[in-house]
Amino acid sequence: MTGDPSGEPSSSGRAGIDLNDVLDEAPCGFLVCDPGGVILDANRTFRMWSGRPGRELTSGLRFQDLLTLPGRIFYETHCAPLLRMQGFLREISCHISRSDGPPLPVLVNSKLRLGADGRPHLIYTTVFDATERTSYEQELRLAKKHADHLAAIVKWSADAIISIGLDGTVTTWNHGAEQMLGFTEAEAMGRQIQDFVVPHEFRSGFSTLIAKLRNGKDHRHDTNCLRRDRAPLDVSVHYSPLLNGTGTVIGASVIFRDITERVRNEDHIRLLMREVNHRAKNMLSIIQVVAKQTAATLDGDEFVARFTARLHSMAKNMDLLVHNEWTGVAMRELVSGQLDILMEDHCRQIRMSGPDFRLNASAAQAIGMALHELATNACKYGALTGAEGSVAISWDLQPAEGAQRFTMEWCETGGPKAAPPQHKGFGHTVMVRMVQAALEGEVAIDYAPEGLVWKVTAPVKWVAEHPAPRRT
Amino acid sequence: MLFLHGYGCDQNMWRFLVPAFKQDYRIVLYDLAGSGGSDLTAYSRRRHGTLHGHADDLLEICDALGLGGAVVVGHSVSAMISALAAIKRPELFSKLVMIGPSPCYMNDDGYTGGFNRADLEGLLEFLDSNFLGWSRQIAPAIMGVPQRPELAEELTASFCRTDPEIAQHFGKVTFLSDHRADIAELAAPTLILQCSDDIVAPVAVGEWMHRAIPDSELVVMEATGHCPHLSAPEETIRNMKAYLA
Repeated sequence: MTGDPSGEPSSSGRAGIDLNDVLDEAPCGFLVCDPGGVILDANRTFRMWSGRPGRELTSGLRFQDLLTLPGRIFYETHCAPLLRMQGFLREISCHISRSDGPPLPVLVNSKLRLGADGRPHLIYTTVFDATERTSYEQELRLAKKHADHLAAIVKWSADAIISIGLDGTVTTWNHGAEQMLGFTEAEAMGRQIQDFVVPHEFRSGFSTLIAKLRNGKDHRHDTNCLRRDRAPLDVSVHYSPLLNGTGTVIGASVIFRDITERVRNEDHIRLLMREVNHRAKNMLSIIQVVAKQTAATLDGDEFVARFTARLHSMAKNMDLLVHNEWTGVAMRELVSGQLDILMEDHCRQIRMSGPDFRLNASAAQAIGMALHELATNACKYGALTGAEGSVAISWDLQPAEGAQRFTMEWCETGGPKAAPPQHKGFGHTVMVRMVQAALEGEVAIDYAPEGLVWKVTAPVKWVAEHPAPRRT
Repeated sequence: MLFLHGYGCDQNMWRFLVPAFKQDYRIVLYDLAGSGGSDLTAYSRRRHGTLHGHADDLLEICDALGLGGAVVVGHSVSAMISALAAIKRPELFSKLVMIGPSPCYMNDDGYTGGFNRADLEGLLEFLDSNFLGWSRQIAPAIMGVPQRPELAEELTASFCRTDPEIAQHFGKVTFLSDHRADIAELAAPTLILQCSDDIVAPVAVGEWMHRAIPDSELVVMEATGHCPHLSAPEETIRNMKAYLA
């Protein structure tokens, strides 16, 4: 030390050790300041560290003046008040600015010495080089930032990402899981996944799954799981083993992905495949009927020309089914489109009536398919097998409680005596179930002796293209 | 008389001042939302995203206690909080005492706030990158108390016990605030206590405040630093009493 503020002569410790030399050459900085921080004395170590080997340090500088700016603000707003009130500071991390190099990261301890009058008298401060510790902390911060980033991705993923212990106990539950499954994190944590998410029928297989995970294998399957409201949800699930630092399996990450849309699309494709097959067979029956009817009045080249024209017209109508991505179709266009082929021979036998409006794509598809089915049946077995029968197709939009209702009727009269079919095939599915599903409505078929009657009632909002139509 | 502590502290910092006034005044001390022993769940990043949120807290406290014509002593950022409150509801406050106030920490054309943009960006970066080892490092010091019998027991466990993320947010709100445009509307008589060497709020800032506040008095104290009520309580009390008399 360059001097002793108390003015006492330099002292020797036990075994003749020169304490002044100990302080001066100690492996830490040592400072004495007045209560305002003005440096009264500094040991050689600190003078060297600060790059101010001479008397510069003790020419009125305050300790806080040596800190980099953020540290200075921190010192004034946190440390100085704390030191005054608590009497000490411990392990304050800051940077000492040096005249000859980059700032030195340090840890600072201070102690406030009170005078005989009880007032602050001196501040003793030790300063430790924290270069290593600071770079280590920097690495930790970077690692934490990286981990926080990954955690945020998991947290906000739309997939349900959860982790479980080997007994199925939920240990983490992300936002996506809350959204998809309806259970909050608090509700799910600590419960066993097989008790509330895995459906009953898969519970017995759960232990097999755990055994597979224990062996380090992952498992992926499409299934359904239970939501909080007990509604099953189509999901694809991927279980992957979670390993600890020594490679032991300690649990599993489980990722649920909602595949409702995909399952619906697959169902839709399957249905369309059946419909295409069914319709191809129907087409062949219609062609047979059309050929017979054409041959009854024409022959030779005339037969060929007329028959070819009819086949063209049928081909055109095939498009209606395949072009499933309609933006909407006018009701009249739909009805006449489906009945075109028949109209030519039966124009006097078919009557249609009803306001024109635009149907949405799925209603148009369902009604179009049903009309095709009804027309095919009428030609094969019903009112259109002979010249006496007739079909009345009518529809309407009517005000009803709360919302408008759509009604439609296909009414056959004058044909052979109608009777319920021996078995209900795909045609029945098309006429009843598909229409019910697409229109959220009711379908009734009456096989009355005087002729078949097909009736539909449905809310207009499921039938019409938006916005809902006015009566025209 | 209401006392509002500054950034980084809590109401304990008034311990050397309060005894001098409690004979003559009803004393109200509180910790700002997010600081000291306050209910941390009451801290809202939206409400307290500007100093107006803290000013509204002050007004609610005045209403709840039925205060009117009070003297408010605000340190540092709280000098501005009390100014905003007094502009909104002048009838609640008779006089303001500002210790080390600053309406804007950043230098601007014709204005010396004490910091340039790079300084403040450095500070914000420091807050961002260092808050782990910045505010939390206060905790071990507090925790250390029981092992240090030489320290009086009353030494508060709450002082500077800030949640690091709140400290970081409050730091940004404080150091990026600019209420220079509001200050001219302050009608209350105001005493500005300015330390002679304060790196957080330099003398030039105190002089700017004095020019901006119509009914103000500026005292440049002998005390240095940013907390004269801790480092020089007698001088602080003397100046306050002279002004309030």
